[in-house]
Amino acid sequence: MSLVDRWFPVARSEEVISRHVVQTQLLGQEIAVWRDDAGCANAWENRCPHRGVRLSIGFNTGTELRCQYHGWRYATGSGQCTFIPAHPTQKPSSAIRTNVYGSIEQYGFVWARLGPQPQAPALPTLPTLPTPATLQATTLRSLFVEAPTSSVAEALLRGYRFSGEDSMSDALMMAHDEFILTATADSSGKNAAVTFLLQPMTESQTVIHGIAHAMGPAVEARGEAAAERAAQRLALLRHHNSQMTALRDAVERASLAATPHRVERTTT
Amino acid sequence: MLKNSNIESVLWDDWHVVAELARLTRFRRFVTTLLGVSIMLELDPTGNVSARRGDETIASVQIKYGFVWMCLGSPTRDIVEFAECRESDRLVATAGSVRVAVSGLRAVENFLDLSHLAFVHAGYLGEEPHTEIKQYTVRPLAEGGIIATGCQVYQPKASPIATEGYDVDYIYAVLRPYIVVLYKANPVELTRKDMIALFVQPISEESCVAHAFTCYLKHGIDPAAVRSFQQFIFGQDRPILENQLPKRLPLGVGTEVQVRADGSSAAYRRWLSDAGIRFGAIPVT
Repeated sequence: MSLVDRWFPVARSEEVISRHVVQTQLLGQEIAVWRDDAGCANAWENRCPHRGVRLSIGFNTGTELRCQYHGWRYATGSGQCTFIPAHPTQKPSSAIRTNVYGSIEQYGFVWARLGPQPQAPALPTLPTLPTPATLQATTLRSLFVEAPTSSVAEALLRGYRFSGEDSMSDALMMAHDEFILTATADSSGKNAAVTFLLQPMTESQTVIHGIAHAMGPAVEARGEAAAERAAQRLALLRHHNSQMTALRDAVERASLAATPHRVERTTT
Repeated sequence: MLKNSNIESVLWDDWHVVAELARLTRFRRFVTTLLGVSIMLELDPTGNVSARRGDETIASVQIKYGFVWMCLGSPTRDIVEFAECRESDRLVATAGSVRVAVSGLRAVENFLDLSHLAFVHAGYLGEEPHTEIKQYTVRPLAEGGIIATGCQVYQPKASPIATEGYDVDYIYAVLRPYIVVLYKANPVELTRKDMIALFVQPISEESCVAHAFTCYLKHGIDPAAVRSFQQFIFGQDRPILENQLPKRLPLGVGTEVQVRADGSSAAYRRWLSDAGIRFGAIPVT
């Protein structure tokens, strides 16, 4: 399967907030991600077909994205241009539309696929995540890394550690493929786990997304139990954030050492 | 005369602004870039400006309209001429130089563009709901370039001295690939026109300096207000321009959507293509 036909996470669901446009990149292609008022997420090529201005600097009206340059509007879902203010009485040609990518929301992320969409698109096959969804899942803070995805995957496999948390010994790392890896806290596989989803932004830039799966099914907690759970959740987020940050620093240092010409770029 | 480094003669052998004269000071070199060539300017005590690249002296340097102009090759024609500048009741002034990270051709096209005024310059050069662009006429100029006449835009604050909104008549002309000028009705003397030109200095294919030049009728206008108004307006364009992808101007038909309101842009791109302009453009393949 060509990479353009594969689904990748491009934004965390919770950062794609109402009336906002998120700018990201996948396999070198800039993408504008935005949610309409009905809750549906769009992933479009990040340029207006009229003059190439980034749609991510445009305005999300809740049903349409309005380009900042000439006020052209594009409908959620189809990307069809609905209004050209310079010619307010004319219906825009059906040929005028944004480049719409396949998008779906699952596991707390908006996923996108760059390749052409089939005529009658079947439900996209997303990678199956190792832990049942009935377990409590927490989305980690996504981390941008200035290094190729292969280096990031390799570093995760080799060097990701759970250590520091009381019940968690060193992780058992498993790569499902080159973009999805799971770290399990102990070898029985029943305890906490983190699934890492790698988003290849460009050939030298990667975003690490992560989902932490807590122990046991989700049950509603009240009072002190709820407070305790919130504290645990915060500790979990902090822990993985510091682990991932350390990993990023190491990967970027190694990547910089391997390609010395990039030193120049970082100092300008 | 510098040896051509593969840049089309129509640009290499033409005049380009490389600095506002007021920016040069004695005993201090001014370093800039033109068409990818790094150049150094020096102002001598007699007020002459000399230019060189490394050890090579660049002979073709002129001072005109308050700017330093340069030709890297052998000039085949003179600097553009503006008759209005000789009228004694006009304030002839430079109005600021702005570096923009986009092809200079995109900057020229933006200057020509009517339908962005109500959005990018809302409250000044246009305003919703007055967004409709009425039919205007575009034709080629005999000496090269294009002219758009009969352009009409409702403007809330059309000039530094305008106090109310009115329909403004515009004429736009592209005189050289990187030089564009507009004429708009003066708010006091409605039959005469203020003139604003943009001399775009191509730095690289994807960056430029836009030098603004104004020739307003004097009525109550002061140079500082002209400068600050032009810089304010250009400050609104700049973030738009720097968010255009790709940074070079695509010349192929169908690469970017054109509607009727974009007549001048379509004509500009066609003319650039016919003139064989490649620097700053994505030529037709």
